[in-house]
Amino acid sequence: MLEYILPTIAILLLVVVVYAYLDLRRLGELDREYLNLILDNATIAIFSIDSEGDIKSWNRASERVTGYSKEEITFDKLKILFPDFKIDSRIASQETRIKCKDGSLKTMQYSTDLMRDAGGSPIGVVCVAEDITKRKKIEQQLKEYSEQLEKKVEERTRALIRSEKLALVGQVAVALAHEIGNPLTNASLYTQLLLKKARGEGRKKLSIISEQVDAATSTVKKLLDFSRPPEYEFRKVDVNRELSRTLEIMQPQLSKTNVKVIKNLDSVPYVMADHLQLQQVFVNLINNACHAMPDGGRLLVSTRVKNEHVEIEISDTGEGIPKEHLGRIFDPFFTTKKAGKGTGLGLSISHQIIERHSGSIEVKSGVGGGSTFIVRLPIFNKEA
Amino acid sequence: MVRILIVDDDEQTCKGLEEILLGKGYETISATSGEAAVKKLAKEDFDFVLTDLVMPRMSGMEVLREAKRINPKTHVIIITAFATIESAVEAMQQGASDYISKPFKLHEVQNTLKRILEESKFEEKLRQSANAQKLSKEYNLDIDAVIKSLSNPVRREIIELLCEHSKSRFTDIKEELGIEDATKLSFHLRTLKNARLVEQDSERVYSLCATGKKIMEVLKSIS
Repeated sequence: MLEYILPTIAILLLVVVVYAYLDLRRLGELDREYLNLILDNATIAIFSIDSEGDIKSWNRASERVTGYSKEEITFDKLKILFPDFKIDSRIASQETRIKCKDGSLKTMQYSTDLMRDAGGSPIGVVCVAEDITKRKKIEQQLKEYSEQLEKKVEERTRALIRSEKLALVGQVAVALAHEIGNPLTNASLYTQLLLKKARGEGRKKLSIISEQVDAATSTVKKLLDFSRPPEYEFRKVDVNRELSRTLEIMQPQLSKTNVKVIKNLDSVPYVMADHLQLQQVFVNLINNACHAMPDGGRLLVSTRVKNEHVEIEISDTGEGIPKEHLGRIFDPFFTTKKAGKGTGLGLSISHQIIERHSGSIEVKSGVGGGSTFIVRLPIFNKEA
Repeated sequence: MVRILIVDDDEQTCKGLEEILLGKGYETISATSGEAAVKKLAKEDFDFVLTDLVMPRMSGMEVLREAKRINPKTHVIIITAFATIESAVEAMQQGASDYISKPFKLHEVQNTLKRILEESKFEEKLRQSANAQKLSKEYNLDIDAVIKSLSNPVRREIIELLCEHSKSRFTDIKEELGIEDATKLSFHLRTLKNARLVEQDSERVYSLCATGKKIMEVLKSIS
């Protein structure tokens, strides 16, 4: 009996062992399969390289992100994608730009860690890399929006301050005119009385006093004009025509200051404007340009259509405006001219006029680089 | 000789104006208050009253009303700080001949006086014109309003301009005639509209009425 049972038990044992071995192998394969499934379904790139530089694993996300398949990727190509990549050290979270197989650029955030065997010896590195291109783009857009918002808030604050200043200037102008009107009138009257009898040196000096009183009178009147909004009469206006007319009127001054005018006027549609107020703006801008070029220079006047607006650009090759002044250039009484050479109201008035026309005016300038004023006016829309 | 009453609570202004206008051949008397001015107006005749608008107790407006009540032919010129231009225009509607804003230059006063004197002479000529009488009956016009409208040279220029151009906008009239004071131009146009010599359409463009065109013929006949 025994000679039959023992072999049978041995065979059974062998079968069990074989099956157990096969089961274990199967389990191992299942584990590996499952692991591969996890790696291939991961949304981030995961790959590993051994100490020899061979790519041991390259998941689907790695292929999707870089464009290189497992068969194509090599250690050299990997080094091109990730220049700081090392097979013998770890890299904490790092951002880098990669150039994919198709030439497209992506921003990746990646980190690597050493793989060690049971004895603790490094056998390679595993790398995890995430495509953060979209996130970076959104961050950049947010940053830009934030900057734009800040800029708009700053502009709006400045506009409010300017508006408050204007209101205050108006009140001050009215009070000033009332209080100064009489003394100035008397100064003028009595100077003229004295002038009638004066001779020689005395007459000369009185003439100077009379001129100064007249200048003060003009300033008071300008202040009052500034504080009283003018009566606008809007109609269809040809901007090129108004510009040409203004240049014609100012020709003597331009010639006197040796300023060469270059016109570059595109054919532009009508705008709805008060043509006299518009001319005043052009006169102010051209005047300022001349003052900025005391030894002569070039004045470039151009028009174009852009974004449903007529753009008028007046540029000079003058001394330019320091950056720290640019934010205040349209404030009333702000002037970079010497005392007595300007009231600092011209640009403020121009700004008011253009705002009244639902337009905008801005300046680009740098010291020594000349200045460019850009006026934008909405195109006249008959159907509106 | 042309007699002028100068009314201003600022004594220096009164004296200064007096002396200057004396030198130009006018006879001048001054008053430093509205009440003093009215007392003088009641006793003597003046061709002109030059009065400040803002004065304590009795304003220039009241001086204007009293002057016109005592002698409607007296020409009253209001002197005003620019800040009260609206009241100056209101004064003109109440019969003032013109306004001058402070601070002013001497020639502004002289030119205004001269112009008003010429206007008076023109008014007289027009009043005597048979054509003007006939027209006013034919079109049922207020002859005084028409004469008042036409006596001013600026208003005559406006009529001539509108006759030439048939239609004109405010800014074109301002530019063509070289008028700096928009408020005054506005006043002149309103005066012409009230006299039914000029009209304004829905697009705010000015033109001569039929009567305005006929008036041009009258103007040509007496010029």
